[in-house]
Amino acid sequence: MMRALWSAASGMIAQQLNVDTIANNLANVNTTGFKRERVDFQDLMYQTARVAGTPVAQGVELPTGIQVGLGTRAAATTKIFSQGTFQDTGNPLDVVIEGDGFFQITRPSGEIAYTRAGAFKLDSSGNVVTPDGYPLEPAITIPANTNAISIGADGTVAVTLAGQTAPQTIGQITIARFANPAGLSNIGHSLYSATAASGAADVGTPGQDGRGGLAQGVLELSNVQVVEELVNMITAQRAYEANSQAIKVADDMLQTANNTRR
Amino acid sequence: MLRGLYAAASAMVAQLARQDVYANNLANANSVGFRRSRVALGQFPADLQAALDTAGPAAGGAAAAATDLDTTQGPLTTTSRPLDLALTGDAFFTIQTPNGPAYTRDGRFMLDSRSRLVTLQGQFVLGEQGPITLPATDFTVSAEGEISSGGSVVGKLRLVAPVNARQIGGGLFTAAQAGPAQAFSVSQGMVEQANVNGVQEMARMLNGYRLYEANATALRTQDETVSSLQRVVQ
Repeated sequence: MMRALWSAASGMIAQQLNVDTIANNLANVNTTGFKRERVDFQDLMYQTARVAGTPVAQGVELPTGIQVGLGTRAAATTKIFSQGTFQDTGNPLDVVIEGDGFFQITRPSGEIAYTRAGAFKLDSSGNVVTPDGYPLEPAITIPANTNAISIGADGTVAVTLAGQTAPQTIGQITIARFANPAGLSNIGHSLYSATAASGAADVGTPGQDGRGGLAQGVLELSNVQVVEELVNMITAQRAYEANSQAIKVADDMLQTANNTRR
Repeated sequence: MLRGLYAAASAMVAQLARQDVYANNLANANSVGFRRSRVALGQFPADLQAALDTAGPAAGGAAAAATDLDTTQGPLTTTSRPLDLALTGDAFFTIQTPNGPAYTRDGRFMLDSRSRLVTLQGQFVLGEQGPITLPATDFTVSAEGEISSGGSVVGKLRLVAPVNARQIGGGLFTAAQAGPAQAFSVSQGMVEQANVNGVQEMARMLNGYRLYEANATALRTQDETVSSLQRVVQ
């Protein structure tokens, strides 16, 4: 059958994946620390019917051959780790990383996960936890009689206890940096886990060795730009339509062939 | 049999081949750095025609003669991702593959787990001195392809102009030889879209479809002529 049918079908399938990804980005436009994804398409493979450069006579070579491409495919969904916009909340446990890096979170399984969402809470025993109740790593416990919490740009956590004037340091938040953050695996709940592709976590003080500094009382919103996503969606829809038209043309041609003999 | 029958049939086959190429172009309208293919139709080779034709030379129908790449510049779009590089002009990035160097206009690069610059398939993007390792800090890429970080140059992309490149899938091109790129510019935070225009590609497909129909009609007409001739004889 015609290769055109399959090439166009691959284009339609690719655009479906594109719309799936755009829809997920849009759904998470208000998710703290969410990083948008994009689908990267590439051409599939080529069938060579006639090789360029084939000698056709003494000293004469074909300048161009005949190559027919077989469609498109998604090569990757790439997470874009650009900085999201900041929202000033004034909440002392809302922390952003200005620049590169991830907070480390201990999952119930004991494994370390990574997140950009710094909307922390306190649990009943004063531990700093995520909205899902997973504790921050290294663990920070805020004493019960605390009046004020301050988190420095370098991750130093200091508290002022009731009846005291001088703040005292109770812990240090460290953040992890990856050679290839796009290689992290999404595990939901705004968490990522390290993979062989991301490289090992380079844990250290915020603000040093390429890690971003921390800022307290601010949240990092998603980096989804609604207008951009909608434009991508229009492009995807039109590409989908064009490919479906290509299928129709190929189908009509086959029908014409079938009707050649009356 | 009638030579015209073969001529019309060969034209139909040739139009089908064109549609395959246009459908692939359309399918790749969103593939970054993709170059659309063009089809040139030629006359059916005269010597082949003579072999199946004992009645002497005649107009021999059509066949797909060649496909080549349309090397027009694709439009640049902004992504603001520092590892996205777009090229304008005649330059291609050089990629290390198991089968030797390949070339690409798709500058959506990544860093591997050891901070080396790689393609989406994980193949090394080559600089003048082989694979490029980026520092942990921010970096910028100049219009000439020089990568600098913290005020010092850490590498320079190997940008070449392949001669008679052909696409091999995965955004890559091969060529027997590649000379130095002459007129080009690298833009960071942008990608070069495919140089496929959906409307033009659709128009080509519809045009091909009508030519196909016309040849199908020609074929049928000749068939009916022969058939009515046979009725006269009977």
